[in-house]
Amino acid sequence: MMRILGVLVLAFVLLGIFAGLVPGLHPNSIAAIILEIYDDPQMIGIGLVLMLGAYTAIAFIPAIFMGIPEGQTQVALLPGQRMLKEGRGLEAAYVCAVSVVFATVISMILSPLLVPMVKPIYFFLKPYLGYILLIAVLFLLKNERGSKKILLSLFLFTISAFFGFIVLESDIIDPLFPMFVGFFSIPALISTANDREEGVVEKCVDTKIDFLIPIMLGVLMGAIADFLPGISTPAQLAVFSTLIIKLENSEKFLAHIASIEASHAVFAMVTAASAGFARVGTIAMVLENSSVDLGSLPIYFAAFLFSISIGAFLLLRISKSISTQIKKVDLGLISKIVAIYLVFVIFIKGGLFSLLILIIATVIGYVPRVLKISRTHLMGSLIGPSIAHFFIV
Amino acid sequence: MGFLLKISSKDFEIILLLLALFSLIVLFFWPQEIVYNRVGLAQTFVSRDGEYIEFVAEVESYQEEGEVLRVCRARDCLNVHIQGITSGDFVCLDPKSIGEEVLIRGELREYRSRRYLDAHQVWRYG
Repeated sequence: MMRILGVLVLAFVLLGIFAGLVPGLHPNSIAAIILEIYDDPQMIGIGLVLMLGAYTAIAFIPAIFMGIPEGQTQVALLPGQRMLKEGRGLEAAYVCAVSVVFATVISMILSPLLVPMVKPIYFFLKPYLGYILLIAVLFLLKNERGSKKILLSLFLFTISAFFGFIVLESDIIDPLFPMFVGFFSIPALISTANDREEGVVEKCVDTKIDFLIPIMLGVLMGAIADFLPGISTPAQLAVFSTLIIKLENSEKFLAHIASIEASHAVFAMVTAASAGFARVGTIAMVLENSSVDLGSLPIYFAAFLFSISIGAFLLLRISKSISTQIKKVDLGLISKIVAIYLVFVIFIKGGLFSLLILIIATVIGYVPRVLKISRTHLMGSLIGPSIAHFFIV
Repeated sequence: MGFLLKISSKDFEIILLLLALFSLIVLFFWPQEIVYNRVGLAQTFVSRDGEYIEFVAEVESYQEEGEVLRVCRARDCLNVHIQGITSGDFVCLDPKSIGEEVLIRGELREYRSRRYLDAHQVWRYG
C-alpha cells in the first residue's frame, strides 16, 4: 500500500487553495519550489495532482469576485463579472463548483471511451476548424446593433487579435495574465466601487442545474485540448463553443469553461498514463518527477477528485462568506490595493515587457467602455491567433 | 438547453463531502502502488555510440520483487528510465542495500519518444 501521509495530503490541498486564492500564483510555481526541497517520488506526483485539483476549483473566486484571471479562467471573467454585477456572484460560484465536479466525474467515467475517439474526430474536423472559428466571429459581431457598432466591434476585434498574437508569441511566463488583467481586471477594479454603489444584493442560491449540456461539451473540449497542437490554452478552445453557447448566456458559458478546466486536467492524466505526454504543466511535472501509468491512474484520479471536491466545497463556503461581507467592506479601497498588487505581481513575474503588455491591454480594455460596445470582442485576442494558426500553419 | 436537475447548494455540499470521503478511501486503500523506485545517481558512463550505459547508483528505496524499477528523475539521469528489471535483477535491491551504491548496466532503447534503459545487470558496487 502506498505510503501517503494524511498530513501531506492536507498540506498539498491547502497549497492548491492558497495558489487559487492568491492572484498571479500558479501551482506550477509552487511545484517548482517544492521539487527543490521535497523529493519523495511516491508522494510528489500525488501531491502535485492534489494541488492542481484544489486550485482548479478555487481559482474561480478571484475570477468571479475580483475579475482577476487565474490559470485558465480568463474566459470566465466576462460571464463572472456580468453575474456579479447582477447580484448573482454566489450563483456564479455555485455554477462553477457544480460544473468542475460534474465534469471531473464524467471525464473519469468517459475517459476510456473518449480518448480513442478524440484524435480521429480532431483530424476529421481539422481542415474546417479555421472556417468554424470565422463563423463564430461573424456570430459575435452580429450581436451588435447597427452597422456603425458592427464596424467598431470589428476594429476592436482586429486590434485585440493582433495584440493577442504578439502576446502569445512572446516568451514571457504566463503571457495571458497581464493581457487579461489589462483587458478586464484593471478597468473593472477602477469602476468597481461605482458599479456596486447601487447596492446589488446577492441572491440566495438554489439554482436549478440546467447546464448539463454545456458541461458535456466542456468535457469534450477538455479532451480535445490535450491533442490540439498550437492552441496555447484551453481557454482558446472555449471560443469554438460560442457557436453553440452564447457568451452572453453567462451561466451556461461559465459552466462550460469550468468543465473544460476540470476535464482538461483529467484527460491530461489519461494521456500521461497512456501515451507518456501531458499538455497541462502540472501533470507534465508529475510525469517528469514521478511515475504515471494505467495501473496507478486510479490513485491519481482519486487524488484529483478528492481535492477538487474539497476545492468546490470551499469555493461555495468562501463565496457565501464574501457575498455577506462584500456589503460591509470599502470596495474602493480594496480595488485600489488589488490593482496595485496586480501591477506589482506582473512586474515581478514578467518584468518590463509584461508591464508594457498590461498598459497596452488596459488601454484596449477601455475601448469597449468608451465606444459602448461589448467587451466580448476582446476575445479576439484568443480567437484571432487560433484562426491564424489554422490558416497559416 | 438541456436537462434539468434540482440540487440545493446545501445538498450539493453534502454530495461534495461524500465524494471527497469516497476518493480519500480510494486514495489510501487502492491496492496497487505507484510503481516507483528511486535511485540517486552518483556516476554515469555512456558508451561512445550512446547505445550502452552503465551507472553507479545509490539505492534509496526498496520495491517488492517482480515489480518494475524506474528511475524517473529525468534531469538527473539524462532522460534514461530503467524498465524491464526482472526478479533476478533485484538481488541488490533488498532493504539492506538501501543507502549502498549499486552498478546498473543496460542498453538504451527508444520507446514512445523517450529513452529507456533495459537493465541487464544490477549488482553491488565496490
